[in-house]
Amino acid sequence: MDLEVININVIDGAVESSYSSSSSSSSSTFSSDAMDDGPENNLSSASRRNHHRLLVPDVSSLAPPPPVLRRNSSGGGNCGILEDCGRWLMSIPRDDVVALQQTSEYRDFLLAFEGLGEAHRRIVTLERQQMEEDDIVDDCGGMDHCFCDDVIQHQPGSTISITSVAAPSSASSARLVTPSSPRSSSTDHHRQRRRRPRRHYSFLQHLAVDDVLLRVLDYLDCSSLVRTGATCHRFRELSNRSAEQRSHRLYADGRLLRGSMRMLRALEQIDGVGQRGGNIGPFVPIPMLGLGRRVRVVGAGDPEYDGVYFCTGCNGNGFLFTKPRWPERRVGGIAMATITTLATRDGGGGGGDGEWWRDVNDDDAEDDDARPPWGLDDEEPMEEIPVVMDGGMGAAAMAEAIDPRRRDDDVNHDPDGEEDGDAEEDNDEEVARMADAPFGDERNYPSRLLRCIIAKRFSNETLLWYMSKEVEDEVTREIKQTFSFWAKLLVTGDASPDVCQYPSQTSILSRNGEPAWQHLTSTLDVAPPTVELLDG
Amino acid sequence: MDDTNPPTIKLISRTGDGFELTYTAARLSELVKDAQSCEEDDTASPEDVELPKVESSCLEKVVEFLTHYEIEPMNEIRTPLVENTFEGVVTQKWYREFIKGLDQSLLFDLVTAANYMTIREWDPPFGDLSAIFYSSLILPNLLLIPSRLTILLEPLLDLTCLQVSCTLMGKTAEEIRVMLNIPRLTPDEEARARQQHRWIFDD
Repeated sequence: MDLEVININVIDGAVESSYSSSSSSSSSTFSSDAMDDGPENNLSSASRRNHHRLLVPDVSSLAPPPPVLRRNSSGGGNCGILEDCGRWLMSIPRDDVVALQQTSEYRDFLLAFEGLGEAHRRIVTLERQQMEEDDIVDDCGGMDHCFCDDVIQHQPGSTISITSVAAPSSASSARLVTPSSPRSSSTDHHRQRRRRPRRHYSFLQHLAVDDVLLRVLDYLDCSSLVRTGATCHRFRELSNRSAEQRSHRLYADGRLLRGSMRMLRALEQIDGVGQRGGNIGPFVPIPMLGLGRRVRVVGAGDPEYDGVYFCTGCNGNGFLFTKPRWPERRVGGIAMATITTLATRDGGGGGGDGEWWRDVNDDDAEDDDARPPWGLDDEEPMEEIPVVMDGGMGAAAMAEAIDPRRRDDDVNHDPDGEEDGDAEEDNDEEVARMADAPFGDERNYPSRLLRCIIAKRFSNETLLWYMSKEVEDEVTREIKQTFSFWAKLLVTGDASPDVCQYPSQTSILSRNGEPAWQHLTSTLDVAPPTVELLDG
Repeated sequence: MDDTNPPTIKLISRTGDGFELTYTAARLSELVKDAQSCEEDDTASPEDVELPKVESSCLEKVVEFLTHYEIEPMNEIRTPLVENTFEGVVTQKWYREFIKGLDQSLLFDLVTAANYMTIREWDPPFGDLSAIFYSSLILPNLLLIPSRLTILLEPLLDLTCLQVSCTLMGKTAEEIRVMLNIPRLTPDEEARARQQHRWIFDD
């Protein structure tokens, strides 16, 4: 295989390159030892003192030799070779990239590479024209029609060939020469290809740019994405990239942390270590792992509630279980959606700079994980948590408290207090609504799906499970919840502590002779659902 | 500009065939818009644009799309897709019919052409911006989520890519390979891919 030796000389800060051609063994060697061979290497003694050789390391010792072009008639084999060539190029050490980019060889390389692309597209276009003419075999000036064959456009005057091939057979093109007669073998090859299906190129692999392919992949569900990624190397990389981009908001919400250092800091926060004296140190959000089991709801009078719920977040009272509303409903307002957050509060005990939490030692300029902490300690309740349950409540008082009508007033009360003007109740409702403000839950980004939610809420002093759905106000575009059903909490003894974290199951509640999920006053004519756990 | 006779422009394909459409419709293509040498001037007639990379059969469909889009804009295709079928996602009949029946070759050409011509539209914000500002003032402890003021739509590219995606959905890796004529992974790569996503392939 013929290779070129590149000599790069740096003279007075400017990079000049001399080029000499020599036949060598199969190993690739880039060295400056052949400097004296080049006719361009005509330097004055002063220049010689100033210039120094840019020692390009011996690639053979650091990178495998370039792939050998196999001379076979099979189109598919050389595609892998192209990929191998690419990997070989990538493996070349890049210690002096800046200097390398200033060489004429580099520019020639880019031109030649573009020429290769044009040649490839030309070949594909010609092939398609051939296909449209009912596979009429036409030499078209002796061009080989197999797109996978290496057709290199050897540009006059260029000093570098992209790949090392046999001497070009014509001034304008070079091609692989098969041992047998080229014309007869190509004719046989064309005859064979005529009998094959008319799919001689892969659009998605060879013509479409990455952005277009990513757009195609963005519409695929996960299973289809994985299968598509298992087809070829390029699709595999793009599939992974598509999955990363599409799951980015899980990272942005703080459910997962990028980087092991953040994870370590999160662990320190959980264990309460790593703090020195009064300096609390940088904070990162604790990655939240939702509960793993699914919750199945069936038999609801409002069929929107039926379906499988997943643990997708938590609020101040516990975990949230959600599913999208069906038929599909999305947040429509682009700039209207607002949520209640606690981001404007000062962290760290309420002193000074409200944004001290931004002082997170992070290399990333865009710090998705440096969000304001919800409290110094994640176990500490938020300040705006509504009335805490009174531990001395008796059974009678409990029964009185669990009044559907009262329940209805609590949860469906207008949070803005415009209806009855009771400031205290408004405040409670507003606070309760704030308590439902999602922590690490779905943010109101444009076009997100509205959901049905199962979550705990306080009703006066009683903590209960509620089933609700998100509704978007058409005027203000504010997202509110309308509540439909409720149920008592399970306690340890009814079921294991793990199960008690989940919404109360109908089978367990019924076992104790208690009513299961019940409707509210506003949903008296709507049958309550049956709630059970899956994956048990 | 005369509203009764809107200015027209001719798009010329690779083989020299010209397709005429209104300039307003053609301006959806950034390529066509940028190809105009003069500033935005309602009195000047737009210049014909040559598209050497677009075949006649493909350009004809593109012009058909642009012409109809001016009359009936296509609904945005939002992700994640709720339906797994093309008909379930694209609810507008004309656009369904537009894509239906296209052979794979022409469909791919359309994808390329849509990307090449950069057919896009800026979607203005919904609602009244003043309401956002007002609501952010009166409600305490609210953080107004900064949102995009516009949405960039690329309808033809979205539509064609969606159709391509729908043809890939539900197929095995081998079927996708055959359909798209993709060379196989090396045995090592394939084994690695299957092992990495075993939970998918086991299904």
